[in-house]
Amino acid sequence: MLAGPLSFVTAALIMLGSTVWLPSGRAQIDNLVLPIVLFPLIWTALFLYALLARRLTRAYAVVGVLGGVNAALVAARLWA
Amino acid sequence: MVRLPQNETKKLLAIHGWSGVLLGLLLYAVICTGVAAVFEDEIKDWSSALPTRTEAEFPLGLDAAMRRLASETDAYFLHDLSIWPAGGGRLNLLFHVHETDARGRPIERGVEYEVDGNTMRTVARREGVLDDIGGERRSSALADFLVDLHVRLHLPNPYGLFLTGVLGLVMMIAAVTGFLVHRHLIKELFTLRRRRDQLLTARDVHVVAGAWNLPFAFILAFTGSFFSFASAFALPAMAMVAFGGDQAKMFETLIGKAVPEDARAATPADLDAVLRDVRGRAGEEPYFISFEHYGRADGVITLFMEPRQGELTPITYLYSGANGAFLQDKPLLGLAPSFGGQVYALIGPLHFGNFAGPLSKTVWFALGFAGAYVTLTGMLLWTQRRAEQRAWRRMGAVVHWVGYGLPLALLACPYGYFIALASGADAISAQAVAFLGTAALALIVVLLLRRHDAIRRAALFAGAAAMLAMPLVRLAAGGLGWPAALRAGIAVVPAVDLALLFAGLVCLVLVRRGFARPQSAALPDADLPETA
Repeated sequence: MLAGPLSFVTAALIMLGSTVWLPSGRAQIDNLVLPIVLFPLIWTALFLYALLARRLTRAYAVVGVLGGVNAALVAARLWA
Repeated sequence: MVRLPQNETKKLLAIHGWSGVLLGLLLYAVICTGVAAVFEDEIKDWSSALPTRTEAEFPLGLDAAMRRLASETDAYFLHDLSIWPAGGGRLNLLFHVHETDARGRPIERGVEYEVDGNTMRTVARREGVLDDIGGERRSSALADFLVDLHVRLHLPNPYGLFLTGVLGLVMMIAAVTGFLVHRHLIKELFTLRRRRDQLLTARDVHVVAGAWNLPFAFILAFTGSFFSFASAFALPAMAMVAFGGDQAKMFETLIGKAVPEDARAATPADLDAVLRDVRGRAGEEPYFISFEHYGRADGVITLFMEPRQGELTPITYLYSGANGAFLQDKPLLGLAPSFGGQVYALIGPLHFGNFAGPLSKTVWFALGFAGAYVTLTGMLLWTQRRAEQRAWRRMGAVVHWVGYGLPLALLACPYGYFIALASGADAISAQAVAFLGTAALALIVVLLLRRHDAIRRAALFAGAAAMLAMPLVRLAAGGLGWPAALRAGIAVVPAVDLALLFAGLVCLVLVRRGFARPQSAALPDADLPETA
């Protein structure tokens, strides 16, 4: 569960949340392009962490916090 | 050497195996078709070459053709225009508008003209939604079939893209865990124990090929999953968060708006003059032209160029669509160079291997071939080690069917295509029938032969026959002969024919070796399930 759907959803939330906090750069596009490009790497890192973590509760907490913080950023942007 | 605790190593080994075998068959299909798709342009040229060829991909006279076709097109579609080589010396000109479908998703609808690049005469006219138009292109149908299978496994969007994106992630996991579990990676790059038992040799061959291929597999998986996920869900989701769901606004931001909005009518700029100017500036030919806001004062002509010699990232040139004045050159994304734009611009060349012409394409082809080999041998090893279990024996039969049957089915596609062209039948349907028919035949042969070495030999022999006879079938179907092709400067026709003949001969040599030394088969004989 943690390595599969949760990692995928969290990676997607990190990708979307990054649009809010990443600097947009000279061309005003970095905060849009980089999260999409990095999405496969974010998911891979989360997947491997979830499977290799020795303490499952801590892994759930880390993934949950990452997903929660980015979900809050996305929600704030949507309802701004 | 990567040092990990034993428990973690076991877990990684399990992930490596399961990620490989669970979606391995689909991944194998994506890799096989990707290997062929590296030469997409060459396959288009080879399969449907016109007898003569202009020197430039976008020849003089394109401007007149553009105006003539615009006058024949419903004014509703004269919003944007895309022009690109259709293969074989033809050009596609697509006049289109941007709409939304019933579910609110952006689509493109328009009229596409296929013109002979020599005479600018219209060869075909297609009208409708872009996805449907793409399925009607007969001149490039052979290459399009391969590319569509590679990109989305012929499944509808966005499901096919999502699936190939997941396959890319699986390949990444297999590459990363493969790197971590092989504790003596450097040593394994050079370890091939030929005189031990066959399973050990097979394992060594898989590891050697996989170890050499690891960085490349990672790059392909990463870039491929980016392409799939970006279209399938990332871009729409990003548009939702950052632009309130307005995808057009997002693309405008990503690409950059060079000219302020001005809807007044204006005579379109001289495209031939623009092409002359860009050749002078860039020193080469564009590969795609986009004419945004055709016939308007804020029209912009964007010419997409291959990367300059010695560079990896491509560049685009912008001209006014109203008076043809040069506006600026810019990266693919954004109006100014940026880190994100640079990273994005690297993704395409790294995935397609098109940054140094035929040389880099050939290297990408070879590395992709090795990737397909590693995937197949990985699945064969996995099922072979579990052959005492009935379910895995059945899985072994499926692996043999897909592993050897898929390349044969792909080789059958040109037969369907050429025979249909010669007989006036529908080439697009014919190649699909040839693919499916050969796949069904391969399943029967696998179930009849039931032994690994026999299946492998039969597949190699059939592959050799298919490749050796293909140039003849192409010629018999009215394809361009070598003397005529060379006189017209179309080297790709004899080059692809020769490559097929060479590959066919290599397969024959492998068949002969297999008969002479049956014990040297890549894997030991595996009894497949009894036919009912």
